[in-house]
Amino acid sequence: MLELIHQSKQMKNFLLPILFLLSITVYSQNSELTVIGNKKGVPAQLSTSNLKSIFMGNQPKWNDGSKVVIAMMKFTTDGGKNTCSKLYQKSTTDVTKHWLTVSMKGVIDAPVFFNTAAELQNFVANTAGAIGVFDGTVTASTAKTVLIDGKTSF
Amino acid sequence: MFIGVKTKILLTVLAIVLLFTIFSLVYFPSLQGRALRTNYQSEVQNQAKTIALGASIALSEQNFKGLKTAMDFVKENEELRFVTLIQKDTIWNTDSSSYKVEDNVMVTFPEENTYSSNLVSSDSLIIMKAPFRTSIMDGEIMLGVSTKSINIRQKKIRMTALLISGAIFLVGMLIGLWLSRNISHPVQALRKAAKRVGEGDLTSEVKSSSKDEIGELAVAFNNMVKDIKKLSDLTLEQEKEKQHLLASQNEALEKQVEERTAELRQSLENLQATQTQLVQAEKMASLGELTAGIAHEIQNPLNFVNNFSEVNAELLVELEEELNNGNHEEVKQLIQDLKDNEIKIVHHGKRADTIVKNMLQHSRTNSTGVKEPTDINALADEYLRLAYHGLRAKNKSFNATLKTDYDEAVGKINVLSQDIGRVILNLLTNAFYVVNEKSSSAKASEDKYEPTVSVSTKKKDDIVEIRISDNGNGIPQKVLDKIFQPFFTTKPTGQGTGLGLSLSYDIISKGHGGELRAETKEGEGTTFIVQLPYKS
Repeated sequence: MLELIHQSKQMKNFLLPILFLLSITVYSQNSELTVIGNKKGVPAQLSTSNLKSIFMGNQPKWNDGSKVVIAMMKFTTDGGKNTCSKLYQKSTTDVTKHWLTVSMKGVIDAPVFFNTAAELQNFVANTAGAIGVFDGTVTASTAKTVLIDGKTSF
Repeated sequence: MFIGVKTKILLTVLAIVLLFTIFSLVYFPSLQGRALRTNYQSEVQNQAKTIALGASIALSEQNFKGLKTAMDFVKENEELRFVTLIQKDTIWNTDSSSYKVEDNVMVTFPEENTYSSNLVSSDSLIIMKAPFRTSIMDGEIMLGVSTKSINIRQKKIRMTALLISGAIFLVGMLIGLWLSRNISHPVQALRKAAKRVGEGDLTSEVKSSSKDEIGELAVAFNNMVKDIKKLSDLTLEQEKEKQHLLASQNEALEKQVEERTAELRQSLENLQATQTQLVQAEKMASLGELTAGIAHEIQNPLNFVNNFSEVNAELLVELEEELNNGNHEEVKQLIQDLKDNEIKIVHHGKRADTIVKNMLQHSRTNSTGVKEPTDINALADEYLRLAYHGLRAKNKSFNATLKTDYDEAVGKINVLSQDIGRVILNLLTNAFYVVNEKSSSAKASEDKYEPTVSVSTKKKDDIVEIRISDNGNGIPQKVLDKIFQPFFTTKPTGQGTGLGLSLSYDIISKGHGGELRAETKEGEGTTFIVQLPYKS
């Protein structure tokens, strides 16, 4: 009985870190996404469906005529995966295939992918018509946060 | 067919030019077209590979920039018909024991049409595929490009080739004409000059300004003509001298010929005279034989006439005595004897008369030269007796057995009886001569020998054959071919003219269209065969 208790203590010591890591992963994947846009061309707020349509590549230009430039986190990053699951509700592979198809059609430019949110924000802040999605806080002061269905994140 | 040098050169150049033209018009454009297509295929293949690489990078690194650049580059190609992204899906069966790969066309640019992944290249379309493989998916880029630009470029090449070919043809023909003019004209001039030289015009000269072999040939030809002219002049001079010499020699020869001709004419006249004399001698010899025979024939009845006349003279003397004595019975007997003798005298006188008349008849007939129906058997028999008795008249010791075999069917035949008689007499005289010679030899050597001469006649279809045979020594083979030659004789000098058989041969062959030949066996005898046609 004592031995059993001892074994259970040892398992607890082993499982706890794993559970912690899993919880962090789940947290990060489930963390909310923020959409930022360049001050030129990008509207202040969008609906979820509009956002999805834009990120599917269906809208090549903004209302002011400026070109839509999409920025996303690479699908190898948590942010990228989170974007696929939350925004596209598809796997990273399917989203990649989608953009491959869109790029082949050549209607609009394919998204620009980044390894870090900072790089993404910086790009969006400095590229006219650029709109980006990432998970994290907005640090770039020159970019504006686009409200999605009236919310800063979703 | 005559083909001139000019034509040959033109044809040669034309053939070469045509070969070049065909090469530049057909082979060269074909080669260029294939190279163009190969290069274009390679270029399209590279574009497909670039897009495939871009797709691979885009899929693995979410970097679509390269893909876009590649696509933008490809889209710039006006001949682009489509770009297709094909996903290779591996589909396993339910128990995961086997799988198959299926092509799934994901996207096509432009989107208006869809293209099967099994599409292959054709004359109007080049299809190139480039595979890619990533962790996300496997697939390939299929690029379809029109060959319109290639075809346009091929057309341009063909047009260029046509122009080049035309230029080559034109230049080639000009070169051909120039060559033919530069070669054939001097050659034709040479030919004309050579022809004139051949016709005897040694003043011909070829004018050639070219410094090549033809020019050298013209110079050599001119030199040759000059040499020939010199030689010809020399030869002509020599010929004149020769002709002069020949003329003088001819003159001398003509004189000699005339002299010789005169001599020959004299010789011929002498010869003809001699021949005439010989023929005459032969005739005289025959006549002698004939005369001897005739003399014998007449002598015989004359002997009877003389003998009986002498007997009658003696009987008349006895008759006178018996009349004086009065023995009437004896007188009657003597008168009867006288009558009988007188009958015999008349008989033999008539016989002599008949002989003479026959001779006269023969001579009259012969003198006309007209062939008349003649009883060959009678003629042969008559001349047999004449010949035999003629020989016996000369040589009383000669005896021979005479055999005759006359074919009664022979009848009469149109001949010159005197000539045929002379032939028979001649052959019989020879026969008697050889049997006499052999008899003399036999007597000297005390051999038993019975000289025999045979005469036979035979009717054979349309000819009459007279065979005169002896059992003499025969004729040697070496002289057999010569016996009918004039003046050939085996008799001792003075006994034969050598014209008997020759004349006989002419009488039979030329005079009567018949044949005279001899069959002989040495030591056994000879048979002369006379064949006379009924229609001569």
